[in-house]
Amino acid sequence: MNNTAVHTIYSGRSTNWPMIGLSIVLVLPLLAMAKGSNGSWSAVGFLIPLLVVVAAVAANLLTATSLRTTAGPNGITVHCGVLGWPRFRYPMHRIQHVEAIEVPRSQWARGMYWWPRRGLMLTLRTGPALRITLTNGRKVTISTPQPQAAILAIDSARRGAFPSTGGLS
Amino acid sequence: MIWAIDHTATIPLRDQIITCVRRGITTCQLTVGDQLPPAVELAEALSVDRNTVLAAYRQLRSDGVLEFRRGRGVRVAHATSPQSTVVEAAQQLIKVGSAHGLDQDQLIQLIRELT
Repeated sequence: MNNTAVHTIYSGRSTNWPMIGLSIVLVLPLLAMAKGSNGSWSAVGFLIPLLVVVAAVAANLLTATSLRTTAGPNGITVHCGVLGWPRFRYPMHRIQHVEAIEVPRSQWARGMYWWPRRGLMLTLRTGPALRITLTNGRKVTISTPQPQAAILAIDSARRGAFPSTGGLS
Repeated sequence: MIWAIDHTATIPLRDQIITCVRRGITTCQLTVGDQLPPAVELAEALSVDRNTVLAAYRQLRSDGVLEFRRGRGVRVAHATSPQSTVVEAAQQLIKVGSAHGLDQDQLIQLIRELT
């Protein structure tokens, strides 16, 4: 934990509303398929699709619906989904470089995945994102609404100075 | 949103967090319906106790700035109209400044000197 007197941190949240809608839309036909050919529900025929649905929705809610990012003297922390898990922590001493990037529309950016050269992608949507380069060379890209503010908080923590907060809105 | 907390200041940490939220709303970094970070996560990031953040959130709820909803977290209240008082005061300042021959740059310089 950082012991500087002034703590300037950035907090941001990204929510993937299309994915939430898509999850709901895709669940319904899956449940409908659980019906037998004679139109009746059987215990096994209903249970298996239900388990698949529950697993898919749970995985989706955990990883692909929202991201909460905090950046400051303690480094960068990312909490995924409604439960805040999985959680990714990057302490300041592991962060080599941070930059603001735009995730292009052509790029798949709907969840948590790893890709060669791009590194770990925690991108729920296209648009503004924060790219971290770690001291071991790994890269992490995080969807966040104001990546410049996150960079300001990190730079401020490195300098130990109090930044101007004007013009960040 | 940017949160700035000075651990050496004489102002209580709770009040500093309250100021951060109010400033966030005034500067439009927070808008109506926006969800604030959970108290545990914010406390960890700011290196303060979780109860300090909760006390700030509760005070803001009492003031009508925030609302707590089960399962939906802490959000900026719908009834909030944060800027009206500040905007009125700023308009008054511009009016008085113009009457005394002060232009925009001079007024900004004056505010910088006072803050």
